[in-house]
Amino acid sequence: MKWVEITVTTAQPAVEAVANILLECRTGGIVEEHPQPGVVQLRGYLPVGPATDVTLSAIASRIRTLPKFGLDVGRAGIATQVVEDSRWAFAWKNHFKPFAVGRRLWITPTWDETPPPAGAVVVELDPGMAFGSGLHPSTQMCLAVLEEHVRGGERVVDVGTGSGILSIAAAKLGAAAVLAVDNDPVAVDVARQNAAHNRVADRVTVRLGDLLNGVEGRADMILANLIADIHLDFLPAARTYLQPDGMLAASGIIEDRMLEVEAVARSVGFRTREVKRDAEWRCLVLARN
Amino acid sequence: MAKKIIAVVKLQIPAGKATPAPPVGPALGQHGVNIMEFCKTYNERTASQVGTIVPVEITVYADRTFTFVTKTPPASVLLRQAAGLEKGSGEPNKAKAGKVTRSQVRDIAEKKMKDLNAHDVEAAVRMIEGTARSMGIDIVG
Repeated sequence: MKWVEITVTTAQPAVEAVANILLECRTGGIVEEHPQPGVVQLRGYLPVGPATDVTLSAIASRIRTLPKFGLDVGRAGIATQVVEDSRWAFAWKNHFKPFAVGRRLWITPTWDETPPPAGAVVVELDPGMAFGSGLHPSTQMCLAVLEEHVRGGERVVDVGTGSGILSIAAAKLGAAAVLAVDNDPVAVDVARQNAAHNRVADRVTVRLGDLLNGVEGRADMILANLIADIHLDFLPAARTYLQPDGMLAASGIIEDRMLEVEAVARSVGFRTREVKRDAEWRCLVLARN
Repeated sequence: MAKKIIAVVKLQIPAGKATPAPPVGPALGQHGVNIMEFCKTYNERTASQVGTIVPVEITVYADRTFTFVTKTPPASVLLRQAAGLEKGSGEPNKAKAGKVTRSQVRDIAEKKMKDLNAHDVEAAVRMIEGTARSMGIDIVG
């Protein structure tokens, strides 16, 4: 996809007004930079389309009027250039290096050839544009739950699988069957590719879906690396999908919402086995009452 | 030991709705930050403010990890709220969108003073007044 990058150079007094013009012209957000003292650059983006030129000229004409409203715009200038998604979308890959989680798991980019430590359980990953590089605390806490509790032969459901990292780790640790679900088609493609790359596609089924809707049977372990608001809807339905002695890891809960999510979990028949903590994130490890 | 900072990125984006599309993608991608990790964290922290713009200042460290703080909504958002408007005027010279009082302007100036890098409240008030006029909002009282 192509975008027009609009860079407006202005002075501090006009920043709020210029920002407003860019936001009202549907740039979807702006970046603010201060290349030198007294100079501010605001940058917005418009998808290239039939109306782009009209919008650009509207932006330019509104910015030209700002001095009339008593705003010092400094040496105002507008520059534009066309940019493509690929320039930035994968730049972070240059900095994605292998790392260990827990005692045995070794997460490595598919393109890195660093040898893993002896005895490591290796998950090779290309997260693409899906969530789950393994670097986020909420993902790492789920990986720790897997490493501590998967003994071999379990049936696991991974809700909101993203890159598939948790499903692949579960399979590599010995789970017999893993169902990975995501409502984002990009994530489903990425997770399938990663499962195949790790040679666990025979045990990891990746499906497009909404939470546990359409899932059949009961799991020994449910992994739900979501966010607090979704947990509030998800947990009441989740209990019946869990074996009586099963376990549910509800991760991605920001600390401020922890008590609220735990209260909902209790009210629908779960008890807390453990609370994992990492920075501001919490992972509730739940069992059925 | 404190981690080495390689960049500080300031964004104004819709609360709860950050995506890897611009401006988030290019702003963070160029510094090697995993864009999806930022989006998830930002959206979770701003979920209660959906419908408004919540500025954010992101500090990127040499190991490509990041921390961020969210800021007061932009002056234009606060002005619209004060004037009870959905949006400003696209032609502020000709069409007036609404009005705010001087004391509302002063409240907003005080709230935004730190973000505006203003030397004193009077300078901040002038910036807010100019911003209001540029949106077709008259200042009365």
